[in-house]
Amino acid sequence: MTESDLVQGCIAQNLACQRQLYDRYKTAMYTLAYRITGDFDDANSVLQDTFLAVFRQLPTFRQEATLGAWIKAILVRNAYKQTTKIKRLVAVENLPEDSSAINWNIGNMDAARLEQAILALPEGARAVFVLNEVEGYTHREIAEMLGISEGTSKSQLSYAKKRLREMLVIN
Amino acid sequence: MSDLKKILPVYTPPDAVWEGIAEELSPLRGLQTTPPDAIWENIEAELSKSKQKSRYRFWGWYAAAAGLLLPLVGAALYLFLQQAPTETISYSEEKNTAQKVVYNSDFDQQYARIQALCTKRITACQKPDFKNLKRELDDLTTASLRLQEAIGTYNTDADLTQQLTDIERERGVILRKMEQRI
Repeated sequence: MTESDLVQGCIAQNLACQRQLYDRYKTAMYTLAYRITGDFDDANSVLQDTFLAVFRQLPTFRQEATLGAWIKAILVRNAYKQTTKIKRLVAVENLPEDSSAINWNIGNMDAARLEQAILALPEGARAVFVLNEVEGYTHREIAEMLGISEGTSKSQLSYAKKRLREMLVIN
Repeated sequence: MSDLKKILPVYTPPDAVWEGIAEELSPLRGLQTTPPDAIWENIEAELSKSKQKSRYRFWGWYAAAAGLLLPLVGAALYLFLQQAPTETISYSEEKNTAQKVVYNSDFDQQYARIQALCTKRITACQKPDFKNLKRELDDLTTASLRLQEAIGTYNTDADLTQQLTDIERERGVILRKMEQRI
C-alpha cells in the first residue's frame, strides 16, 4: 500500500490503515520521544497523544513535507511539552556557539554509555542536542518546533556538547 | 542518517500504546459513560418517597388489626395474671447483632479494574488530577486498613467505627471520580 493510499484509508477512519501507519512509524517516533523525555512512561504518553493528533489532523495534512516529517514535528512538540511541564531550559551562561563536530569515535563508542550521557543532560539541552545532532534539524527548525529563539537553540546545543565532552571525556 | 543515530539504540513501544489509541479511535468511545452523581441522588430520593407512601398505605390496615387484637390480648393477659404467681424471676439472652464495619474489598476490585484500564488509557491516567486522586486513594486505603486493625474483632469503639465508615465512603467517592476521568 502506498503512503497516499494509507493516508486516505486513515482519513476514512479505517482502523487497519491506522494500525499500519502506526506500525510504520512507531519505533522511530517512540525512540525520539524517549530520547527527548528521558522517561518510558512519558514516551508512551507522548506517542499515544501524537498518533491521536495525527489521525485527527490527517485531513489537514497538505503534503508539503513528508508524512514522517509531519508526524515527527507533532511528536517533538508533544514530547517537549511533556518535559517542560516540570522544568524549563537551564539557564546557560553566554557560551560561544559551538559549531565544532564532536568526533563520536563511532567504532569504539559504547552506545549504551553514550545514550546514558545524553539522557543525563538537562531536558532543554537534551532536546536541542537530540534534534540537531541525532535527527539533523537546523537551529531554525528547532527554534520553530520548540518555540524558542535560534540563539537559545544554539546556546543549549553548546552547553549540551560541553557537558557531553566532560561526561564522556571526548576532545 | 547521522552517525550518532546509527549507533544509538532504538526502542519499541509496548502494545498498550496502540490499544489505548485504538480505544480512543473507536466509534463506541464516549457512548459508554458513567452517569453523574445527581442521577443516583434522584433515584435515592424517589426510593425513599415511595417507601414513605407504602408505609401510609398500610397504616389503615394496621389500625384495624390493632383494634381487633387489642381486646383479645387484654383478655388473655388478664387470665394469665390471675393464674401466675405474684413474684417471678426472669432472664433473657440477647445476641449482639451489631454489624461489624469492615474494609470494603469491593473497592479493591474496582481499583484493579481502573488499573487495568490505565494500561490502555495511558494519557488519562497520567493527568495530574488523576494522579492526585490515586495518591489520595492510596492514603485513604492505608488509613482504612490501620483503623480496621485498631478496631479489632469486637468493634466497641463508636468513634473509630464512625471514622472507618467515613473513610470507606470517601474511598467510594474517589473511585467514582477516577472512573469518570478515565
